[in-house]
Amino acid sequence: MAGRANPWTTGLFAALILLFTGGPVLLSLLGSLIPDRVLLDQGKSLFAEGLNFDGYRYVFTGELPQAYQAENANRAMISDAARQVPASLVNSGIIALSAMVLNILLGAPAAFLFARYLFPGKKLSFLFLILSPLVPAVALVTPIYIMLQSMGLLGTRTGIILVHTARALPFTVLILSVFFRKMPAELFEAATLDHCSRFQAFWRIALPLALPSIGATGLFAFMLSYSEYMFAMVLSGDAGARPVSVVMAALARNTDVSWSLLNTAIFIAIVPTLVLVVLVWRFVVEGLLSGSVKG
Amino acid sequence: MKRRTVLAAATLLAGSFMAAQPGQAQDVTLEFVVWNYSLETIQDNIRQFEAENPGIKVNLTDYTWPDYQDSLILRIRGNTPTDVVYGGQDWLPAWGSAGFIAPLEDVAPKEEIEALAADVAGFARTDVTYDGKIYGLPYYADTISFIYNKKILADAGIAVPTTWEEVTAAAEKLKAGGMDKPIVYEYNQELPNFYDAFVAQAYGRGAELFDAELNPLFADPGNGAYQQLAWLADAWSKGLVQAETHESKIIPAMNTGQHAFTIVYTYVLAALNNVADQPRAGEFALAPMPGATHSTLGFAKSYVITRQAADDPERAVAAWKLVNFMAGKPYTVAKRWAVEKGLGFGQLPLFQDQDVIEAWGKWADVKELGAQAERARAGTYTEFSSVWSAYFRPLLAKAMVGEASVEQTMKDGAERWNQLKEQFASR
Repeated sequence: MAGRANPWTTGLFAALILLFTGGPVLLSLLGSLIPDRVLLDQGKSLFAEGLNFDGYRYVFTGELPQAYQAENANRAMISDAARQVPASLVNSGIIALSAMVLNILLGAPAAFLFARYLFPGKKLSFLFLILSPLVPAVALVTPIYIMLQSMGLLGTRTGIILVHTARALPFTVLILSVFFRKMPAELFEAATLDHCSRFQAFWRIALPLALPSIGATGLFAFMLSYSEYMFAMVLSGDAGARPVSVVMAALARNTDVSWSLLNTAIFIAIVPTLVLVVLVWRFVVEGLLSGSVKG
Repeated sequence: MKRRTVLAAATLLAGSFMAAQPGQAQDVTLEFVVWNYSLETIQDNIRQFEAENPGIKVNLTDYTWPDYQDSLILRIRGNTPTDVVYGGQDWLPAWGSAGFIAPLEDVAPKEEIEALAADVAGFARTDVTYDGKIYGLPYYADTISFIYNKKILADAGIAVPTTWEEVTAAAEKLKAGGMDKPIVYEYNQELPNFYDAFVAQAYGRGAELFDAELNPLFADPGNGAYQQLAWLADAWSKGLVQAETHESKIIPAMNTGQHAFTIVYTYVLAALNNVADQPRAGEFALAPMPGATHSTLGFAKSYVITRQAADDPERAVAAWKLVNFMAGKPYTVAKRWAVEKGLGFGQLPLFQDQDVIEAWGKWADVKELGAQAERARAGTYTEFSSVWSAYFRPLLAKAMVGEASVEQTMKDGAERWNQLKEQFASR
């Protein structure tokens, strides 16, 4: 008989987890609503001057925060990179969604073949695919850059989408092949008896059964792409194709950005991710778990 | 048949019409690569340049500052069209020796370049020079300053220190009066600033770190750099120094009113005195770097033309026009950066400009700043200096906090410099 967990211990752990996960989000929200002069003054209460939305107004309209309109204000701390955040979120959404779709389109059939059929070079190609993520990404930057340049894809979202797809594909194939391998062989034997082709077996039998896992691996690919920085930075060129990871790095790693503005940008960048996580995380975890343990 | 005849006639007519048009200048598109500071201002400057130079278009690409050099090298090695770039004093020798960039005399009349260079502060001119040739014109330039809190010193009845010994005495007096750590120091061995600040202090004492043949001199106990490291170790051991990992943390730390001195880039003074966000804005001022000569370290970032652009006559002409617009007379763009954004500049005549004096007067003594710029000296940059600096900074960090001796640190630093010098000479 399993003992019941102590509610105090559970509550304490839950509070700690909430503090470490929700704390930074809350801090960035607060920081975005409080002027710098209050944030940086240890002698003042956080709410001494109330809350304002100057940072948000600047990001979306370009209107300088009120404090920086003062005659003696140094406007060097107002980085216009913050104004790229909304457009970069759109770019990230397009890139990550495309990488997700391509991963599913390419990864699911590949995983099915690896899981259920024998063909020459299967072991070698599977090993190659699975071990390829072990190559340090930094070692691939130069060849990929030169390759995309020769294809005329530098500075385009397409180039980043292709690279992100390639980076996530081994994980997609690995996770889905585990799931397909655990499907009962009788299902496919019956399909063969009913004159189903390999493609039909995949399309009509394997795919519907694997939908939760496919959705989960797709979302995994989405998240890998959404948070990827190095290739996005090198390949995106100008702001037109730049995803949010690169814009946030520009803000966070530059020292001449107002704290309030940085917090505003962080919060704007976090919101879509938070919404997405809340909506689909459970689905992702269940899907991945079913892929790994169902048998 | 009839339709075909009509089409052929129309084509001929169109062709002859086009041939009859007066010759138009061929459009040149320049690729301008920058780190992403104030892109809207850069874009606006580009718009003005394009309006003044019909036929030249400028594409702007930006990278984040920490990844800038790697990204740029990747672009150049990958033969991505790149014409004008932001350059840094520490990268210039490596870029020049690798043939990534071209001396300005390859794209513009030498006399014109000399005339522009004559207006540039000595340290900034050195920073844009490699192998005796000028490779760029300053985008912005700055010095490292000794900054103090006027109010704290006045309240304690302490005169502004002029030597490092006086800094110690002032700090000890403040400590005795209840201020725990009177000096805030950017202590981060990962940052080039960490070494730069040390060099600035050594320059204040009048130290030469290297001779004309680039032999290290700092391992000599009589050298100012050696003495300054000993001073730092002493100040640390007396509990006078609070370490902060970055200048961005020094700004709020100084604004607590719990510290009186710091040594940072001058632009930090602008941030410290920023009424928009700093509670003690107005309390901070710069003083000449303590020491016998009051010299300090200056640096310049510059507009540089790539070898690719210099080798293509049309792009070379356009690239020079862009560089001259951005950094040349009447220094409109440099002045704009100074007035609107508080960026430093290498063009000395701007220290006399009324708009600059008015804008900068809000956070600094412009006259003092101008004098400091004239006294400032450039760092020593070679093809291997960034490699050496990365080796030396951790040694420096250990010596400051008493984990290594000053003597051994300087000896090891000099040995490594000599090894690298030999290694690079035989390349």
